[in-house]
Amino acid sequence: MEEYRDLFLAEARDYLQSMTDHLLDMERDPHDTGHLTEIFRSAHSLKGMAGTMGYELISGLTHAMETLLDSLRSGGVDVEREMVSLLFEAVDLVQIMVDNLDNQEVYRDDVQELEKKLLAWQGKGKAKGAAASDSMEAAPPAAGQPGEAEPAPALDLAYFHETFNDYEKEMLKDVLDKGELIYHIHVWLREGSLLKSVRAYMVLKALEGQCEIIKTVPSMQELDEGLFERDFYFIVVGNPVIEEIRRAIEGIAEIERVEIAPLRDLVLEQETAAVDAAAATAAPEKAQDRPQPSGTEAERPGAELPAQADGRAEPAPVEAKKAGLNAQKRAAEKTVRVETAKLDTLVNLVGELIINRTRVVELGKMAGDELLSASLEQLERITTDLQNAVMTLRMVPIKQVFDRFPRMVRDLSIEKNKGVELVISGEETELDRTIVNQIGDPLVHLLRNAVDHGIETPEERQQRGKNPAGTIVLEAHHEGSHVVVSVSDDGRGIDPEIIKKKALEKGIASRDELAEMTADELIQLIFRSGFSTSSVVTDVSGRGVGMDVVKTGVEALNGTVEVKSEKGSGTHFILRLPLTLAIIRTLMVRAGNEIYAIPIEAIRENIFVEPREIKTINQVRVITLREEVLPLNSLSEALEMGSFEEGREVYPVVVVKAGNKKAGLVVDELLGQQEIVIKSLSSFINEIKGIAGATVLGDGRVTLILDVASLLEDGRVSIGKKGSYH
Amino acid sequence: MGKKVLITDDTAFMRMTLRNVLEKNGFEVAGEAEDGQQAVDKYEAIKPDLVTMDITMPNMDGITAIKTIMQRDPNAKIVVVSAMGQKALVIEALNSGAKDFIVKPFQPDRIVEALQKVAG
Repeated sequence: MEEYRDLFLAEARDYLQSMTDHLLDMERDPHDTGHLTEIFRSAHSLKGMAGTMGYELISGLTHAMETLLDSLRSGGVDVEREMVSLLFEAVDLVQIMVDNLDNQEVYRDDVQELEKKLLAWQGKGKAKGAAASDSMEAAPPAAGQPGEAEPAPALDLAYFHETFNDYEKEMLKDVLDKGELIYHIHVWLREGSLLKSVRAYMVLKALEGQCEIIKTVPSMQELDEGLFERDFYFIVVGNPVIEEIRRAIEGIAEIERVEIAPLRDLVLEQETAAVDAAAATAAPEKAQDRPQPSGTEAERPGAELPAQADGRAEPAPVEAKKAGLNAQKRAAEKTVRVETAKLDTLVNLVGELIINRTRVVELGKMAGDELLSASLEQLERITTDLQNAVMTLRMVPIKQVFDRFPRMVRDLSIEKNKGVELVISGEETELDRTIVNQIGDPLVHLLRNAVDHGIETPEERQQRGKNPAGTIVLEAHHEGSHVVVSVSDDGRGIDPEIIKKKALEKGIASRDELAEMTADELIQLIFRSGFSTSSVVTDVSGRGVGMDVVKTGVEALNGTVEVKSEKGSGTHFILRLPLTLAIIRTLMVRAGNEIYAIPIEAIRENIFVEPREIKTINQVRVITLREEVLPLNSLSEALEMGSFEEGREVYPVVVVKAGNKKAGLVVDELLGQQEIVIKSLSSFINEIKGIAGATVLGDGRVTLILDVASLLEDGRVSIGKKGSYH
Repeated sequence: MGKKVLITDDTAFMRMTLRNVLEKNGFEVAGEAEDGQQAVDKYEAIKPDLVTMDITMPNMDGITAIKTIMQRDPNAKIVVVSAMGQKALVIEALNSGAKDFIVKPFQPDRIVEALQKVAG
């Protein structure tokens, strides 16, 4: 089973996400039953998968969800916020268990309690007496025995693909052409049946001589091993006497029910009609008393057998259907799941290749052979394309992160009694997987702040003549080699005066400094670490919880963050992130005999300083750059590779910046910009402060990449804090 | 008039349990057999409507007994009452002519249902 675990995890997460998305949609638009159908399907699939894996708590809980969802579908229960919250709670709990598969037992009590709540809600609907059924017992199913009185899922034509392979589809078509009939025989065993495989065997025996069995679900082998829960179905062809088959099967002990229906109806249903029918009619009438398959497969048919249980087949065009089916199938095959470790290996190998290519190309140039040069040029082009192609493999849509926010904002806005609409755009924007994985937390901070402090209460908004419901816009787009992610709200904005007051209280800046600052500069103060940690500040200013955390997080990704705000009309955070972390643009500099690469993101500017400009304050060399005092440090000195070289005519200085810290690094030579592939240092030496990694240059030399943030942090370098040296 | 049942099981406990369940549900327990050989002999003597048959028994096992009885009376209605995990044997019993099976430990209604279905 362990080998299926990864697959289970991946699929389970997809289903959970789908449930979250559609729950939100359903809450927004309760009349669109399509969402309900989707949620139901996901819950059902998840239940089946969990059951197969033996995760009884998950399957039990999803079963309870399913039961409630079915009441919704049959109109017995109305969509209410509280109920959606309950379903969300269940999604969360399943998510937690999926994330902790080894410790599911810990959650047994939680699961049981939640199951009770779900079923109680479902019971409510029944009390209303709407379309609720008699046969549906509200008793919670014993965990691990899903499948009791389950409703039928939506009419689902995906079933057709999932059930049949191409060969079988062809065969079925031939059978229809021959005038034979296809039947779907679905058998449910009574609960707690033992030696289920033998029961299945008896059913097969009962069919012997009556018709030809062309398919069983689960497979014959799974049937033989008893790997199903309570039900299984056969697809048979021929012209059997249905009543005889039915009698034979029903004559077997521990068979709870048998459903036999001609499959032709299914195949011929129009897809759209099918979906509508599922949502609109099939469920209320038939769903309740129809036990639902709950087996090993992700999707199982249930209501796909239309209302007539022993229906007579009606001829209709098969071909039209087929075209639709094929298109659907192609879409499903567009992606494959690949282990991320494999991708990383590939990216690394391509990195090596690029480095070696550069060397080969250089050698080729030296050789001066024209033919060689021509083919090397070709090689260069192809490897560049290869590199780009491989890099896109690492790219994932930012949607992965954005997807969780609608839910979060919804919960938060309910908690805070605020009306908030989250508008998301550009979620298809792609960036490096590593970045996508790490950008979540900063965005959570920003969104929480927007809801918590940015958006005013509905009353306050109304007083100001605003729409009572606030809007938060989360947007992503490409901009050159960067991705820009912005979080904007139309809330109260940041009041520079309050910032000024707080900054003074916190001792972040002096009165004089503050007096000189523009409104914009004042607002940027929220990113100062001392500024924003206090909740008092938060309450008064309406901004600021953990803004320094946001900044640190974004800068760790070689990104930048800025804020724009206008009092009364909203706040706008702009995050600028690199597309990838594997390849960075750097400035190559020489210090002593070594060449170092400095990430461009960390560089503010390059300047040339004459000795007369350098002053010494407290034994620190400084210059005044645009009225700001900037400490100077010899890079060699900082890395303990040499000392400051006195007596030069002019010093090249790279002004670097990390967070609000700034410093000038004195180097011996600026060598120009270069794109480099980062090779991380092995774990033995990755603790070296000031060095982020290494890269191999075209000529084979190894060059260290500076980690400006850590260089500025650990005190090797004298730093200037922006604003402190005015 | 209830159907006449011959109970076959090597444990007295199981025979008693079966007897109680069947008698409470309108069957007439016409005899009890402790092994396959007794079952064959008593089948001849009693001509029951239904037989419950354990599989693992001393002297003659249930499978052999089923085969023997079926040979002598192709219309015999035998329901196997097997222990768990005897899948292969149960299938062999079914292939030998047993009409149905239930698994011990059984729920009373299951054996009643099985016998009623087989009795037709």
